[in-house]
Amino acid sequence: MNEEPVKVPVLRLVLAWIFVGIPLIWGVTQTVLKAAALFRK
Amino acid sequence: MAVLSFLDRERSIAAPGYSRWLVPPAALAIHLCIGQAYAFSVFKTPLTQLIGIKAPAPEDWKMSSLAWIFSIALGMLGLSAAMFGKWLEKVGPRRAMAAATACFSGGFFIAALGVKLHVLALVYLGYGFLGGIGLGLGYISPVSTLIKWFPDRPGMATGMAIMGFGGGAMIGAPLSTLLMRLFQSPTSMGVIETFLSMGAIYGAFMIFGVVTVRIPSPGWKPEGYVPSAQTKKLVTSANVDVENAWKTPQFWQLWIVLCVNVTAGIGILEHAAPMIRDMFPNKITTDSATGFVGLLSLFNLVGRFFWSSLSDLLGRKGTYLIYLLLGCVLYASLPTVGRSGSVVLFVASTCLILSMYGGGFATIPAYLRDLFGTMHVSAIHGRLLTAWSTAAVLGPVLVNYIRDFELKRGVPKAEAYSVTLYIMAGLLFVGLVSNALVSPVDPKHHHQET
Repeated sequence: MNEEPVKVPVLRLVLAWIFVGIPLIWGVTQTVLKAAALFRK
Repeated sequence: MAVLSFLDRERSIAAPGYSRWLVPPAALAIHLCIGQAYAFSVFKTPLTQLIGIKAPAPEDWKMSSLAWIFSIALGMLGLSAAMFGKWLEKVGPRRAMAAATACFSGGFFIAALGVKLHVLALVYLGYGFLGGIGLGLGYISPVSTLIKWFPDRPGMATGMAIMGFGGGAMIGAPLSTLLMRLFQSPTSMGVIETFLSMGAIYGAFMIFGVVTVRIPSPGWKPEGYVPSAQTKKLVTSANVDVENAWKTPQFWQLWIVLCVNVTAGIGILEHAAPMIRDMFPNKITTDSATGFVGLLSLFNLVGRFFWSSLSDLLGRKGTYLIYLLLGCVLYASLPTVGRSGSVVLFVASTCLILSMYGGGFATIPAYLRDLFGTMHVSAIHGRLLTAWSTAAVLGPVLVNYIRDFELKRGVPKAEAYSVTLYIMAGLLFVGLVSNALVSPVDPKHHHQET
């Protein structure tokens, strides 16, 4: 166990969220495009 | 070995000052990958044309044989979550996530070999059996860790991870299609290369989760967090061992709640496209029915985060009361809505139902934590997931058989779902009663420190 206090840089946090966020947003966008067919006449 | 010792529980204890906001991305990295399982259907047609390429050849695999791949995977999900939950609590989330990565990613490689040699048993073994173990381990591994990092918002924290599972299907389907298109040739469907690529991509992505995840040091609390002095009746500060938890009535009450909520949701989700087409034959085209399925998936995803976060404010029992009561009313009214001809009302009702289906999945870990404490919550969650496996069989069977029976009886297509929908409403009512019976766990089951 590491007892030394650490400070997580904000950049690391942002990058971690971007890493998982990009594929999620891509997947959601694909689904939204598919769902849009329901509202087309 | 240094690499393996990196996976030790002790090595994953966070140093003071570690940001808890790095843990949800670690959990999402796992869940976004394993959620791919729900997109497996995109491989079904290509797998039936591996030899014939343009159309199925006599030696090609049959669709009915391929259905077993997903069934084995889902069965193994429930079994492995139930069996390995206690091991997970002992070794910590990092080793469990690493095992999930090896199984899920390795499953793709074995399945690719199965396709190459055209041996279906290898695909069952790879994607179904091994991949299914990866699903079970991956699904439960971040749960207790997130609950420990977010004692102030456990519903929101687990909701985020479980939302990732819903998102995984949304990524998995277009990604698989894209890769198969890329690798397709006049002599190949591109399935082997797609499986290999997905094994590598998902493996790398999940390793990010393995490396990033940390558990809080004992006694850690979020800065400024003061546990409420006013104790809530259904939120315990004690812990219950997994071996005792499943002997309590509360475990089985929640098992019923989860099972009926999932049965009802899967029943609609699996048959959404034919259902809306049959109920509104002159208004819904094949394209718009596909769009409807996409819209339901979106509400399933959003509901996971929305409802589980809301449960931190409303309490778990109150949130399930909404799911089950509102669900019961909505299911019972769907046949009438169908007869009224209002597509908008039908779509709105089913979207709300699916949001609560997702919410039911995402809120259950926090409900378990409230009743049984954090000590073995992942393991208890693992055992409770057998309710999901049961519902995965029950939901589609109920819809299929009753619809076919009704059609044989001469009931018009538009009306063929009515009995099923009333049965679903009845099932949710059973869940409603079960949820109402939930009370604090008898202290005799509480874990005593020795």
